[in-house]
Amino acid sequence: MRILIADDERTSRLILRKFLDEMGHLVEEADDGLTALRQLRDQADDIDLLILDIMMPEMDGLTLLEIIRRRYPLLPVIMLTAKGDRSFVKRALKLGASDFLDKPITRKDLQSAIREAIGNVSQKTLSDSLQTSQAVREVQSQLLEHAACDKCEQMNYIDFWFRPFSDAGGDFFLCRKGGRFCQVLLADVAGHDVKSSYAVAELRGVLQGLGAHFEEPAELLDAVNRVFATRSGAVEKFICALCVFADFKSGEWRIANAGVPYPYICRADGASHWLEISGNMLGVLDEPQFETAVLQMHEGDKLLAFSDGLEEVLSHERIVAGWRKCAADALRPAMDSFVQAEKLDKAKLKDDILLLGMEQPSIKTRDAEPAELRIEFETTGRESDMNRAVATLTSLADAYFQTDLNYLTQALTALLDNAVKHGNGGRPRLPIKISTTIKRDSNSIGFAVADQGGGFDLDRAIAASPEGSLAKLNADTKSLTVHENKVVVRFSPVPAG
Amino acid sequence: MSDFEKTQTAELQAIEEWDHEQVLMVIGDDAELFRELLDIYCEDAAIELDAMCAAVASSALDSVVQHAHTLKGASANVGGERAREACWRMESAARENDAATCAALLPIVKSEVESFIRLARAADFNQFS
Repeated sequence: MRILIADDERTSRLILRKFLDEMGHLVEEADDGLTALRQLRDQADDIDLLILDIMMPEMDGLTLLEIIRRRYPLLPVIMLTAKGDRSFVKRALKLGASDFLDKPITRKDLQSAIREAIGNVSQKTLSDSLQTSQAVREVQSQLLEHAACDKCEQMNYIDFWFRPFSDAGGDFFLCRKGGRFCQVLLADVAGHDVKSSYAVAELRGVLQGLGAHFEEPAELLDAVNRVFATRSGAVEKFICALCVFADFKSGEWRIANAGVPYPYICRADGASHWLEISGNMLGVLDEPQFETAVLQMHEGDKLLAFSDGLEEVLSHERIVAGWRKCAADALRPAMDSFVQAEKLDKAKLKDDILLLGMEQPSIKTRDAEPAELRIEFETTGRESDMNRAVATLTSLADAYFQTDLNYLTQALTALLDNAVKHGNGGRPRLPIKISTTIKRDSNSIGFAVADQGGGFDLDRAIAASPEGSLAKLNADTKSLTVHENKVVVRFSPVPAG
Repeated sequence: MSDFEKTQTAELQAIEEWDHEQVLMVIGDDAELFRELLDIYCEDAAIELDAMCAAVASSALDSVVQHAHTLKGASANVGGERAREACWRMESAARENDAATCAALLPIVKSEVESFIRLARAADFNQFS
């Protein structure tokens, strides 16, 4: 193989060259990021592997990695790291590095890293030979439910906001009832490829399969880690997660962290702080450590947790300032205000963003409050995204009450098809916004779909809708309307069939 | 010596200055590689140290990060554990934009790296194998 070493540090280049020569590889060297990029450009077809230091003059390793992933997606990259570089390792893996190698470099570690990196490329090559985008769409539509919740009566006190970076993989959220706790998990799977998709779907399956056996969130994380840390082959993925066990009756919340950013706590009395607990990512170590906190939450106290995609867009200072401004409101308006004020729906993404908000209700009045779940997110007209949007909403509706899911699926699909064809001018990549309100007390579901179009002629759209589905929707619900450039449908009670 | 310097120095003294086992893990029985590595380290460490001093003096903390990081990696490769640790502390302080701590750490980093350079120049491969 021809291997390019990019490191400004001469002893590393000497050691690597020596070892790689012994292994029979051809070696090229670059002493800064820009030189490495030029060499790649000049010899793109000849370089088989890149060994890249995290930090170099002219262009640092992570910036170079980002460029490489866009231009040379199949090129395996091993990152060179040393003590204190762990935060960069996480980012590098999310950017698509194949493996990392700690200094001091040994022959054995180098051989192992090369095997791992080349192995990952074989998987990707296989994916490409299956037409990656097609394979991803199939996986997505069949396996991936991005945010599906079990029947959890405390759903009123949990809210989330999600914006994907691309087709595949990424962030994930689960909520279920486990004994006296509402168990909530925010997870972030590294990467945006077929393996990530499988890992997210598999994680969901693992979590469902584990059941409600745990009293401590760290126990749940440990159990998940035991499944993923012993894996080999196709589905090796690094997973960061935050697990919250919330007993809304007593206000006791137990929280454990496996590598996501610190969550932020805002108390109803105005006090606020980062919850500085950290932990190892899942799927890496045999015996990871997860710091846990036990909090006594009072009415109105809130938690904001997020995947690290948010840190790519907002500094910690902005997050704190923005959330503190909004947190005095009830949970859902607070989340909406935060998203709008920080323009998260328009931000240029480097990664998925998943926000999780939780609020401690009043213990006395909890049971009397009506259950309402409101979700807003952005999708595109690409088949995988639309399938994911439909799967998300139908599973949430199922968590609330008995519905005719086929009808829901058809209704939403009809609206999305119309949005792509007529609103987005037949361009599937343009964004489409969906906002949904599910009200358990009135047994109703409403959703609004907004595309990029300048106006909407409802009659023409109904006439043109595929197989008359919009017409049927309009006839059944008698509620299809246009409001502020959004197509809105509400049906109550949910019609059958 | 200030209290900060005393504390830092005491903490560093608890670390082995030269981890021979680590060196052997890298070089095996290759005496030529051993000598070549140390020669390069001695040359480059002096250059990086000078650059780091200039960067600290002008509070160019991004530059301090870069030089401390480079010297940290180089020290790790030759088993210079105290020098590596000192460089890591400098890199961390510079990343935190803590110019005062960087200035306070500078004599310590210099001392550890220069001490290691003296050891390296006098080293004999036979003392390792």
